[in-house]
Order: sequence, then structure tokens, then C-alpha cells
Amino acid sequence: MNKTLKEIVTILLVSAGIGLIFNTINQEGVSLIADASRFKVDSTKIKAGDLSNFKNDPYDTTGKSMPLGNPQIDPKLGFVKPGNIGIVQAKQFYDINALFIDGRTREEYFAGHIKGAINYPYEEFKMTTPEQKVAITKKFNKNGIIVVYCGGGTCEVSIDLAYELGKLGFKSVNIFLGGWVDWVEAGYPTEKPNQK
Amino acid sequence: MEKVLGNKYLLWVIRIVVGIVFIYASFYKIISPFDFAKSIRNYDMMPIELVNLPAIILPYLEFICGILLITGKMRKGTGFWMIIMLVGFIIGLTQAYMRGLDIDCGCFNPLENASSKSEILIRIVEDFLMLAGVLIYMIFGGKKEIKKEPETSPAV
Repeated sequence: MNKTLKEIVTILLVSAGIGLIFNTINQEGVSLIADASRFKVDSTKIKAGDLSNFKNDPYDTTGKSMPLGNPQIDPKLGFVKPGNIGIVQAKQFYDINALFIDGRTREEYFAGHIKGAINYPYEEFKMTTPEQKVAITKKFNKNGIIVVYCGGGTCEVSIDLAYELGKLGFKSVNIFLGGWVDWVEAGYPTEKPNQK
Repeated sequence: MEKVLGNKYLLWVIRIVVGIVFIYASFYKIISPFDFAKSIRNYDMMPIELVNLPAIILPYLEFICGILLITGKMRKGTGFWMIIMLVGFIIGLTQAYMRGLDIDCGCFNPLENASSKSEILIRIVEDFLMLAGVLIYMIFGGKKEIKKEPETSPAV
């Protein structure tokens, strides 16, 4: 093996070795193969018929309302894993009064958002303490359908925010992957705060 | 030309500046591979399943190459990896710019907000400058200065 090739291989092996060791030690380390299911619409879509008899009240905190379907706690996560939905199901949930949460920044939210959506900028939400997170979300129905969205495309704050809500015990959290871009393209209801 | 580019002070400056940039750029990525994986994913250049591997290895490759560049060790191997990385960064940034992707660059801090198009352009120019520097180091860095032979008294 000539000297240059030896150097190239040595540098790569040392980098990979240190990287893999530190990644194992690091609490924020990542798995070798990323979980792609986080970014794909779930194949098990709920049919529109299933929703026709479902009463959804996002602010019913009496605990009397039942969740949609039979949400199961994911043994690995320790909470109900948020589902990934596309524009069709997002609109179905919108039509049964699901709680829409916009995870984008305040500026983006005020520039226009899905009609009726509330704004929890993920960057602000993640900085709050666990107690504050509970206090912020206690007015919402844990069994109610929640749809979290952001800008669509490559934005991921909706995914992160949805997992935070899942951890807080919300059982029907859905990530609308297409987000604001798909919603606007479809021509569905939007609003700017000063249009209320 | 060769005299200018092969100037030992120029080569010294290139090594220090580019080396420090690489070491600095590796810090946040080493601390938070999760966020760096996110940045790589946003470039939309490879299957999602594969983004974690470069997120684990690349920061250390940057760090080690930065150290080797400053110390002047393993010149060719260091140069090879730096060229690969810089060309990769330039391709990634350029395609993101052309496609109008609303991404954070992830160049220095994976947690930074979405970069504007002008910021991405600045990063591309920076990468081209560093690439030029590394190429100069690769071509001229190995040439030893001709030292005067010490005068020796003839053997008796």
C-alpha cells in the first residue's frame, strides 16, 4: 500500500473509530440507521367513515371523551407514538374540529396560518421546564385529536413538538407532514390574526 | 507564480486559518450529532436511513484533518479528505441554493436557524476559498526549500 493511500485509510479509520465510540458514550448519540418512518405518512390511514360518529372536543378535560381508535403506548418510547398524516387526513381531522397546533415561529404564524390553529413555537416550547409544559397544555383534552404542523417541506419542528406532546400523555397526536405549504396549495381555510 | 504560492508564510497562514475553521466547525457537530443529522437530512441528498453515519463520522474527520493540517502531518491524506469534504459541502450548498431549499446550513452550528440565500452563497464562496487554499497546500506544501549544503572540510 503506498504512503498516500495509507494516510487516507488511517485518517478515515481513526475518525470513524473515535466517532463511533463517542457516539455510543454521548447521551445525545444517534442510531447508526436513522428511523425513516418518522418522515413518512402512515400507511394505515383512518377512513373517513370512522370519523363520522366520532365526537371530538379538544377542550374537554373531564376525561369522559374517548380517544379515536385504540391508541397503544409504544413500549420503546413509553408513550403513544404520534402518527404521520398527509393533507387528506389533515382536512378530515380539521372538519371534525381537531386542535391544530402551529409549531413555527411567531413571525411565521402571524404571517398566516391554518384557520383556528394555535401557535406553540417549538423553539420556545422546548426551553420550558416539564412543569411549565404540563401547565401550558393542561387545558387540552388528552384524548382529543391534535394535529401539529410547521412549514412543510424539510421543517421538522412539528415532529419534535408532536413527540413532546406525546410524552405529556396526549394520545391522538398527528404530524401533518405537508404542513403549511400543502394546506395553502390545497386552498383550505387560512387566516392572519388581523383577519379575525 | 510558484514562488508566490509556494511561499512558506502563505502556506503557514493557509494551514492555520483553514485548520482552525475545520476544528471550530466540528465542535457543535461533535456535541450534538442528532442536530447535525437533521441538518444533513435537510439537504435532501441521501436516503433518510443513511444520514446518521456521516453525522457520526464527519465531525471527527473535520477535527482530525484540522489538527493534521496545522501540524503539517500526513499532508496528502489530509489534503485528500479536505478536498472531498469541501467539494461535498459545495455540491450540497449549491444544490440547496438552486432548489431554493429553506435549510439551515449546519456548517458551524447545527442549531442555527434557516439560512438565507445570501448566507448560503457566502458559505459557498468560503468553501471555494478554503478549497483553493488546500489545493495550494497540496501542490506546494511538500516542496522543501533548497538548503545550502554545509561546507565541509575535505576528508584527509
